[in-house]
Parts: sequence; C-alpha cells; structure tokens
Amino acid sequence: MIRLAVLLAALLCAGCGPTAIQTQATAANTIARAANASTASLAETYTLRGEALIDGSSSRNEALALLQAHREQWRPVWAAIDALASAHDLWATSLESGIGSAEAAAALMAAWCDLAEAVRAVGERVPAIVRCGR
Amino acid sequence: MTTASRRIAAQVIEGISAGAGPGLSAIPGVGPIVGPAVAAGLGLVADLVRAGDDAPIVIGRIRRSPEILDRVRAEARWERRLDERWPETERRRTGTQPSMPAVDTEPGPPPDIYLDIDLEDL
Repeated sequence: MIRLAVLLAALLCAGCGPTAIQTQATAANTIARAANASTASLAETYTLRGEALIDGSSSRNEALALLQAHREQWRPVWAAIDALASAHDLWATSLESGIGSAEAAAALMAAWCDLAEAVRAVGERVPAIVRCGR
Repeated sequence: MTTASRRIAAQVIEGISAGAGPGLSAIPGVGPIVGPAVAAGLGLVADLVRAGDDAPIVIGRIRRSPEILDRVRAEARWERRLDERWPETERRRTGTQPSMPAVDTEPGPPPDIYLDIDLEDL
C-alpha cells in the first residue's frame, strides 16, 4: 500500500495554489476509495461473524443475545466510519470550492486514526494510509 | 504529455489495478485488505497521471454506515440464518407455515384480482 502520510504532511505545509488544491483533491479521492474498499470488507466480516455466532448457538434466544452483543461491540466502528465520512466531506468540499483547508485535512487524519483504533478493538485493521503515532 | 496520452496511460494503470485487487486477495497469506489497498494505490497513480495540471476537481465520498450495512444486508442474512437453524421457532413466531401460501378465509366471492380476466383473451 502506498503510504499517503508523507504526501499529506507535505500538503499541509504547502500553499494552496491551484496545483496544490488539485493534488490534495486527488489524495482525497484516493482516500475515499481506500476507505470504501476497507469498510466494505469490514461489513462483510461483521456479517460473517454474526452468522458464525448463530451457527455456534444452541438456541434461537442464545443466538439473538450474542448478535445483540456483537452489534454493540461493532457500534464504535460504524460511528468512527460516519465521523470519518463527515471529516472527509468537509475536506472535499473545501477543495472543490478551490479553498483547501489544512485543518480539515488534519481532522480527516485524526478521524482515520480513530477508525483504525475502533477497528483494532474488534480484531480487524484498516490500511495504514496515515501514521497515527502508536 | 498530452491529455489524450495521459488518459490512455491512466486507463492502462487502472486495468492493472482492476486485476491486482482480486489477484492479490486470492494469494494465501496476503489477506482481504491488502488486495483492495494495492488496487486503491494504483488508482492513485492513475488519478495522478490523468490529472495533469488542469483537470477539474472531482472527489469521491466515503460511504456512511447505513449504506455500507445495507449493501451487505447483515440483518437480513442473520434473520434468514436464524430461520434456517430454528424453523420450528420461526413457525411459532409468525404463526404460519413458511412454505405454504396463506389461506383466504374471508366470506364472499374471491377478491377482484381473480375475476379480472378477459375471456376473449383465453
């Protein structure tokens, strides 16, 4: 996986002339693709684990209880994805407006790290496109 | 590099990207994350090649959780799996036989839908 951290760090220090905006937009678009690919994979894992819980249960009630616990365990992951999407929207909109925002880019990176942590808590991982300092 | 040649080069890279994702994921030990990640990385290269200096800004968006979960239909798949494993419970729960149509117990003639037949068409 190509590490975008260096690219993003450079972008934060760069001015926001037309070329810098275009380059950031390309990075933002690629991050969206990587995020969507990763979250699709996560959702499939989430579903398969739920099915495995059903298969390993001895009664319907036991399966329903396990599924509810499973939903609760994964709730932070979905919340982190929504927060990431919001941060990305903000950054993307600023770029599409031709303005660009270093703060929005930084917020996106923080949101990605939060997602990585939430995903790690359920035993999965997302691509390390941002260095999270852990 | 002209716009046309950039576009062609980007298409070639995207072709490689399209094959690389599933191909890498199929290799034992590589894992399901690496394939899409490499494909996304190649997508970045394609974007950079295509962009040049004067491309319009078009940025994709990250999908939110309801859409992600709708795509995999997790809840529906679990419900189906539950019904497969415990069909007796399902019948008690819904009060119907899963494989049989509901019986019309209403008095009077059948619903109009059964009578809406033009005999000349038969």
